[in-house]
Amino acid sequence: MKHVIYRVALVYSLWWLSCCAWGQTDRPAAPRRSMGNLQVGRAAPTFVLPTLEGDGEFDLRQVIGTRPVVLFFGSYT
Amino acid sequence: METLYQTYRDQVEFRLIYIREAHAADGHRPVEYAKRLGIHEHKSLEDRCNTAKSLLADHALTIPCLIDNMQDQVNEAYAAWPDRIFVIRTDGRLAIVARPGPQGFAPALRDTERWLAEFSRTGSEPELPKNAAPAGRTRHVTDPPDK
Repeated sequence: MKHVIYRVALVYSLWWLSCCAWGQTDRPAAPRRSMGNLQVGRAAPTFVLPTLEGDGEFDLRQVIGTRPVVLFFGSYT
Repeated sequence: METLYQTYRDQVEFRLIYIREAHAADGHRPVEYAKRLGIHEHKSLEDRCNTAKSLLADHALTIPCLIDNMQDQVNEAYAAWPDRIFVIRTDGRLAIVARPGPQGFAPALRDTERWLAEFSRTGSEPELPKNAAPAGRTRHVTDPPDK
């Protein structure tokens, strides 16, 4: 009786592992959507990023203190 | 977005930050037009720049665009994926923090328009709400260029 139980467990384990492998693809994992810990009133994280035109960088630290900033984040899709 | 930029660009800094694709052809829940236009997950900064250029050209956007780095550091710091809006006051504190994603974008766009209109009309930034969080410490999130 024990042998039967072991065999069933083994077959089930192999089936489960093959299902996992079947589900694997080379797609990158989707980023998790989250609210993060930013709230109204908090200091905005500062950054330096290149411009699309490749003609320089934007340093948020240099703009803060001069004018308000609106940031739109997104992509084509 | 473009309308707000054109209306208030003389008083406020606007930047579009191009981040990783939301629904690339080979990515998470691909959209039909990503397959048709051949928009894939970016493998390099050049890929990201090229797709950003296509977006701006195809939608006639003139708003200045920045490219997030391939470590997605700014995206992660702002929890911005798939899309999100923020307004930063002159003192560096966040005035508007949208909910991420398409559900948050439209309401935040309206809030941003109201904020900008008041700023433009009065010449001073709208007060933060009474329940606003304390400013806390400013965090710099991108590596210096020599790293």
